Amino acid sequence: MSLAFQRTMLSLGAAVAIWGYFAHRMLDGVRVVDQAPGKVLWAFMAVVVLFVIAEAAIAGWAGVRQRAEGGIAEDERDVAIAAEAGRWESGVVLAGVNILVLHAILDAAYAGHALPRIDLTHMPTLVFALVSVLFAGHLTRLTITALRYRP
Amino acid sequence: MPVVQPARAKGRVMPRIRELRGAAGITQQELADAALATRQTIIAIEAGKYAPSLELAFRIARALGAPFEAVFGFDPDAD
Repeated sequence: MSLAFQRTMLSLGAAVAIWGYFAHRMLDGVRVVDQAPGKVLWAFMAVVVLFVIAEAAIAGWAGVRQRAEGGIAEDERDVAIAAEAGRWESGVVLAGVNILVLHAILDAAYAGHALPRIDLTHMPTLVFALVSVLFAGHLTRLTITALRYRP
Repeated sequence: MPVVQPARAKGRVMPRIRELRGAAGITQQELADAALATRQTIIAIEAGKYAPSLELAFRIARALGAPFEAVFGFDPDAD
């Protein structure tokens, strides 16, 4: 099992855990809880700080392992994998934002529709939806990376 | 009017790194270090899962001390 694969799996685990924490702060079942802006900002900042700490810790661990193992840290295949994973991430974020935009327009045009509702006029729901789209993109990037590095 | 379909590109690079590396008594890590690549990339190339750039392919051939065509064959009929 390569160091790149282990590092990707650690990042994936950390991202899932952090999104789980964010969902725990924002949701009650499948409904976004009504919260004051200060609480939503606190939850968002906690996610950002946890994410930075987790990625810094994983990068530090990987750096120590890389120095111990020696050899080239990164080559053209790593760059190609990162580029491919980045394209997938961009696609998922683009699709997610477009779905939210279309949902907002169609929700206003067809108020009586039977599809699941996402009330984007509700600030905590909007924040949760946008952060979840970012996480979906990030998780996609890590999943593609892990698939390419899998043993 | 008949529709002309563009010819589908065929062909596959067939690396012979494993045989040449074995004959030369070089480990994957040694070859990776000499070719400025990671060991995982050498493993992927040997397994046919990654097609290297021309620059890396030449570095590998040079590291193995073999002509380029001896290291990277080409099967023009493979899909």
